[in-house]
Amino acid sequence: MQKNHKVLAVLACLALAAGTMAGCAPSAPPADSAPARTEEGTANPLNDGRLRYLYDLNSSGGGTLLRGSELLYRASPSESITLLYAPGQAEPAGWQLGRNDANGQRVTEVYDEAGQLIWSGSGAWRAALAGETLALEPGSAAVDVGPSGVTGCRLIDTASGTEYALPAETSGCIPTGAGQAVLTLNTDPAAGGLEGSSVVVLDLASGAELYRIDRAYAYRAYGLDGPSRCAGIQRYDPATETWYTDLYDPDTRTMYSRFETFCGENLICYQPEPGRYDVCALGETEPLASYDGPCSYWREGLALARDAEGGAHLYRADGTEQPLFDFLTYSVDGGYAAFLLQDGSLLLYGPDGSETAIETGLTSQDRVSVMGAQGGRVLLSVSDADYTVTRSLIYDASGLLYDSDGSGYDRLMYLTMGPEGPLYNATRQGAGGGWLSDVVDSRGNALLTGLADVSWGDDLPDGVIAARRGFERGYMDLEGNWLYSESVFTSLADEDGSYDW
Amino acid sequence: MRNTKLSRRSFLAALGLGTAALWLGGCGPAGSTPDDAPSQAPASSLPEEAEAEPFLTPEEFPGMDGSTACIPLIAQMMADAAGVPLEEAQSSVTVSTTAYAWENMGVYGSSDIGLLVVYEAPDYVKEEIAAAGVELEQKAVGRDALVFIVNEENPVQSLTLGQLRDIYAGRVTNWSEVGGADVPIVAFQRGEDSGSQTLFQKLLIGDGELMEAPTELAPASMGGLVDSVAAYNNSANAIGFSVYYYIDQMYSQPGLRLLAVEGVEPSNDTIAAQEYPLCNDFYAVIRANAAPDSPERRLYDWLSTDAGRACIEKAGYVPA
Repeated sequence: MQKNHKVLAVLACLALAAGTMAGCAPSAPPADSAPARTEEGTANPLNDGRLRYLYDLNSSGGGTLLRGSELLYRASPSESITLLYAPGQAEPAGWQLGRNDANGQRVTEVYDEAGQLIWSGSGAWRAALAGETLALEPGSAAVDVGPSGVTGCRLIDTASGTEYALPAETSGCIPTGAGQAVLTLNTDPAAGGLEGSSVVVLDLASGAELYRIDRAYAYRAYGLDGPSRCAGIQRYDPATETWYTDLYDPDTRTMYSRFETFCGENLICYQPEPGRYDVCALGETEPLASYDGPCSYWREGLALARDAEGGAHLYRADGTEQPLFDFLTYSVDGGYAAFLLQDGSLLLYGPDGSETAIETGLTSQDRVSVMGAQGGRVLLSVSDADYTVTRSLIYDASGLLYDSDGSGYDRLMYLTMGPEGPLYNATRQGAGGGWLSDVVDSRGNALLTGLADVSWGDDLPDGVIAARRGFERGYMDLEGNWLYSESVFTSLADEDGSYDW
Repeated sequence: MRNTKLSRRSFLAALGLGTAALWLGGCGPAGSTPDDAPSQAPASSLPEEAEAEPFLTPEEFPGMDGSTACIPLIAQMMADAAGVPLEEAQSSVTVSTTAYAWENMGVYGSSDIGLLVVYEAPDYVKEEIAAAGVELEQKAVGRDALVFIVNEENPVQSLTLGQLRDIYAGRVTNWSEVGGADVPIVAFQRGEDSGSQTLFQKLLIGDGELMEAPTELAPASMGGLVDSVAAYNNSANAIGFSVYYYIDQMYSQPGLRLLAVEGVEPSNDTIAAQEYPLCNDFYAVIRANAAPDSPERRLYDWLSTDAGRACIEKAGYVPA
């Protein structure tokens, strides 16, 4: 009966939306879905109230929407679910559902975090939420489309239902919070270039233009932890034939010219003048430090920046600087930071500012990536000349903990924090060439074996992983108990698409 | 062959009417009933000593591909022939589905694939393989059937082959014409590449008339929308089709009912006896030049032994 319930629920939603705008989240779990199977009295760690989306294995649409371990909605292959992340907010602020109405036309519905329907309308729209501001861009593109976006963006105050008046040529609409939105206006979208494309920062309450920048388009800026409250503004300098980015901070209404990157929590690096790269806190212009090249990581007494020739260097509190092993051989996680230097030594910094140097023996003949530094355990991935990973190494401040050489594991990736430190997804080839995953600790000891499609998605709580085992998939704990599971065979369109299930 | 077109608008309008009819008629709560439970595979007729001892190492086990409905069999083969724990085998099996599996071996020459367990190829793929000049060797290893599905609330229990052909030709458009409620019939089809559509064309339609499949907008990669064959949605007035094994053993959603055809209900017994009228074999396929001692040839040959047949039965299939 589930499919019928779903259709009925959608119809009911439509009726409610037409009448009262009251909310309605489709529900009724399918029989194959199973919430927590924890022992009596044991809290299900998945029940954190967070929205999550299990993508469909068989199509570009479909999938399962959950809150904690509660199934909210299972979409058919013709429907699409997208979680909506508000700027500066780690958890989804809601979701949107794309579906077909009785006439075969596309309908978009936007739900808030609590499952209340806050907007529905004809057509395919890309929604974005920031506080009580809902932005709708026409079309169903999954990413910012740049200067060639279709005009017709809409901005709605969800509290009052009021729609803000926008210029007809608005092709991009980014709600930033702080009562503002960054618009892209394009008088000639078909041209696909910056001629005729302008960025306007709008104060929503007064309708005043705070900034207008011609030959530019705006996009959502992402910080180290997800969507930031800032907007990126892509520009082009015809004199030097170079593209560059400005960053707009809505909280202080500051425009940073020639933004480079976020380099720490609430820290940015930008280029206030040629040849000088400043690190400053968002909202400030007084530099914390200046470098000859872009700075990609900064904290008090420690910075990673490039020199004028593009080489990456680690700058330390004692005034010394050392070249990095390679361009991106560093990783930062919370208070931990790890840097592999050109001489093969690994510098590990702890939250307390401690510094430990570990000799790895790696040389310039090796291709090395620093894959993570979670919990102070540093995962290195070593590749051959063909970029095939040959082994994974895990270090902590005491030295080498694990070398995967000879283990049969293809590669390791950080997965989640266990009670005694980080755990990793170790992939290996099974019979017939299929891929399997084991969950291993930082010494290579396997906690779970024989899984597939293992991942750490949607900011799962520590000790919870997404996985498939046998013909079930969902979220499980580190003892292999399903916290939410469903069959992998949920679609009658099982062979109708060109996919690997 | 003349196509009788059903526009997306009229199809969905009819769907809406059917859904409303279901609402008015009431529908039971979600959840499975005893009738929903997958039927048990028939007890093996083979002696217990036919149980296989692994004869390949996991490393020797050949790369396999096939139809979605063959995934449990491929996993069981991995367990029986190579000693892989069954659940781990189930985790690791992936297939590229019927048409692509045939193409991988017969057209693209994928060296990773040594053996297919697969339903019949669509005609266009057979032509591709013939054009590619790749010589394949195949044999029937199991038997399945094309089955028709409706909502469990649909009062119609059985249709004749003629009635099914009339429905899919668009000559019968209301369930009342075949003993059901006075609601339009929404006749879903499957994608051209699917094994079910191939069986549907071969076993039911042949050279007869077939109306155009209803379509709907569906998400494509990167958020785009494409017009695609509408997926069966189990609304009150819907009819669709699949293969018996997938519906009976794999697909887990309640609320469906299988229609009898010519008064015969599909089951492992009626399929084994070929009493059910829409049966078809599925196949093991290797390259004709596979060496006699190659793992894929040994596995292919093993499927015809008692142990191989026991493997097929153990996974719930009807051996050919």
